[in-house]
Amino acid sequence: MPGTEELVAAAAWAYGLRRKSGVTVGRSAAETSDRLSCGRVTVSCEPLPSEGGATSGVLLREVPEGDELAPGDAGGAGRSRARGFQRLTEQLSSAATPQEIGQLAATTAATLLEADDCGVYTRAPDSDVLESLYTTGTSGDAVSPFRRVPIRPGRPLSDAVLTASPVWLEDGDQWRSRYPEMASAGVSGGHQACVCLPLRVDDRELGAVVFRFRRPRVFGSGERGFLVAVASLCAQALDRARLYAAESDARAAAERERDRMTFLAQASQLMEAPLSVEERLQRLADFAVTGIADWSAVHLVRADRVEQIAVAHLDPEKVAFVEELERRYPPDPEAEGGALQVARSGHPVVMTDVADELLVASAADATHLELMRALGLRSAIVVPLLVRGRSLGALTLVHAESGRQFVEDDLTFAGQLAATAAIALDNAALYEKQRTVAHTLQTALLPSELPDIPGMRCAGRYRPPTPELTDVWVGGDLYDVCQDDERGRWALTVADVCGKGPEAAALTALIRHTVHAEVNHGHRPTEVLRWVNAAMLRDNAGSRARFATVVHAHLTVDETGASVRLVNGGHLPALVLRSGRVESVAVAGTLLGVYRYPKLSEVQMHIGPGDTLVLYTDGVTEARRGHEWYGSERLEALLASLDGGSADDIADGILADICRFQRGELHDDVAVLVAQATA
Amino acid sequence: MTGPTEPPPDTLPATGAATALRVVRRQEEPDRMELVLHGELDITTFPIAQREISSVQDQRPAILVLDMAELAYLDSSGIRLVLLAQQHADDSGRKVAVRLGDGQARRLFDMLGLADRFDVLDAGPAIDADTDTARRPDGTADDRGQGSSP
Repeated sequence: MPGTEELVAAAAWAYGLRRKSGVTVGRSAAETSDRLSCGRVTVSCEPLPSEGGATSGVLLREVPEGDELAPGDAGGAGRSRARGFQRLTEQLSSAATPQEIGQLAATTAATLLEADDCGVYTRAPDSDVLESLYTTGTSGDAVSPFRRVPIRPGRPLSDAVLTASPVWLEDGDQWRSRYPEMASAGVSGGHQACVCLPLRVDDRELGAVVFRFRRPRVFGSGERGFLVAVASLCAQALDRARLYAAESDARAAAERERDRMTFLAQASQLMEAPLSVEERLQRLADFAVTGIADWSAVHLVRADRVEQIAVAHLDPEKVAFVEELERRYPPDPEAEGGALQVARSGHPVVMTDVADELLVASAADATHLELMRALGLRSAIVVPLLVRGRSLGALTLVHAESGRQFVEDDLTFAGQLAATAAIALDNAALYEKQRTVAHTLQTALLPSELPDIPGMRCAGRYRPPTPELTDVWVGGDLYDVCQDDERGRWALTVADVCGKGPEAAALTALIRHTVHAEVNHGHRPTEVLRWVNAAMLRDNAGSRARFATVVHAHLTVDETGASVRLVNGGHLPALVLRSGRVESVAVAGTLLGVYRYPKLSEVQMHIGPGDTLVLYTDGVTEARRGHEWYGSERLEALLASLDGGSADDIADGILADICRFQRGELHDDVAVLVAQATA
Repeated sequence: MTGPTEPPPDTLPATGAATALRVVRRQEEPDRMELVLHGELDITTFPIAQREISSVQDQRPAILVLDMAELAYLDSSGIRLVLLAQQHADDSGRKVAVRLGDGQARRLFDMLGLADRFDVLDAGPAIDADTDTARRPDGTADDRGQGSSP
């Protein structure tokens, strides 16, 4: 039959167009709009433009004879439908939200289809409920009287979704025969024909649309095709809107995450400020109310108590109000979800809604309740300040007048913020502990007090470097005085171990105890240092990375003063202050801890009453001010000026002068030992 | 000695350190590498110098010369540096020599008793000990080889 052949040819041509436009976006094909008339069958071919002018598809419509769109009518009605379809396409392509699309489907599409009422429903992935996007003619809408419609087989809308194919009901009889239970509702309000169309794109189920008519209606194949095409158009728009919404959500989430990271970085910076713990936590609380909460508070666990350290709100009057409130009504430490409980338990709490019952339950009396209500607390989150599995306290964030609410998802961010604070607190505590350990260690390396030497006055001083200038507090400087009981001799030692920190401290201790032992064995000064050298070599295990310089003197005191034998292992020369004159006792010697046979020599001298022997480390002579050094000349001049002072006066005078020289700061540790023969 | 007008053939600036240390590498004889240290050698610049020395020692020169004469400042870190270089050389049967100039490096080496532990390529000023003898009330005695040395 020629007509059939022509129809097949027209369809093939149209499908060819669709394939072509699908693959290469055949603009030329898409821009054509043609109608092929083949005998009694009319086929129209309409390009479906999408956003940006490209072609999203081709609508092929076959209009058989005797249908609503009769051939005679096809020219006018068909063209009008094509125009309506085009208009709907354009409008849908500019609709951004599912709601707008629902509205267009229910208005423009319903008008185009001459439907009296329409309902558009979406289905979230894996949900068994359809949610109404838009409905018209809701009064007496028996098909979907609810905004949420459960999907159940045996109902036309559900069947359309479940079978992924349209449900056509042409009149009341079809309602009654196919859906007897729903028929009375289906035909209420004068409704007759009804069509439920699934909204699908590929295998994505997006929902369904129902068109209802107040008259019976025969859905011929052309009519069905048109309705399916309209539904398909709506489905594609919905799909696009849903993808767009997902993308916007993802972008918003990414932006929120970025803002939060920035916030955390700033909070971290605040916590590192060189301030007290209390001041830093107050700053953190103040910062929190600039963006993430209306109220914030920080509690710390201290010994067996939990103390509120900081509370913040942008309005200082409100802060004062809360402080007054908590003064009058101290918080209950056992209160569920309270900061005190979270600080102790380490378990966070999210109160999306601060229920009034909670206020009632925690109020001490009617006034208390009234005052708490006046705060208008709406939502709260309390997170522990956790570090290394321990809770140091709690961070409380509260939404009040902003009306915002915290949700479970906010726990992550609040937890990160709390962790930032906790780590900073922990570091501060470790820093303090380290300083205490260093101080204790340093104290152990130095004599708690110097022994009394009859006929002599001794003064020893040690100063660590200014804490802000260094991160190490255990120096390698040593001074000591010990006695050789048997021989009635006294030994003075000043040493400087290369390097700082625990290793240097260990070496300093080794030197100190070896000197004590060898002096007690009655060894002469050079021998004592040889033993020290041997001990250091054993300790260093062959490495030359650690060495020390040591100046060591043995004193035998009598009524004429003290006779001194002095050895110097690479150390700065001892100084003798005699009647306003300073002598530098230069005696050559090798540093200790490096070579098996250090070259060591002894020098003998006598100091009379009032004469002073001064031993010191390079913290004195290498005191630095810009490019200027304190130096030995300055030291000798200073000593000369201190003549006549006591041992303590001289030791203090040296420290004071190098501190002054360095404008109150010490870049290196300093040890000074002064021994003066008394008259 | 490095002439002041001579452009350094290979200059390595101290990176990131406030106190600059430059290490200039030179090789005039096949078996002898020389490193000239300029600037300040302390705990902050120590790693720069040590890295440079290690890289030169990896080339196994028979003699490594460390020129400390040009240093504006050095402290015990500088001493540690040469001691470690010497240890490395001793362990591998090679030698380290130093130039000390007549400034701080010389004074520090003298004080620490290191001047006779290294090959010092440049003669310094008269040894302090000579002038100090006069100040010593009772003279000195080098006890090397004496006593019950451990």
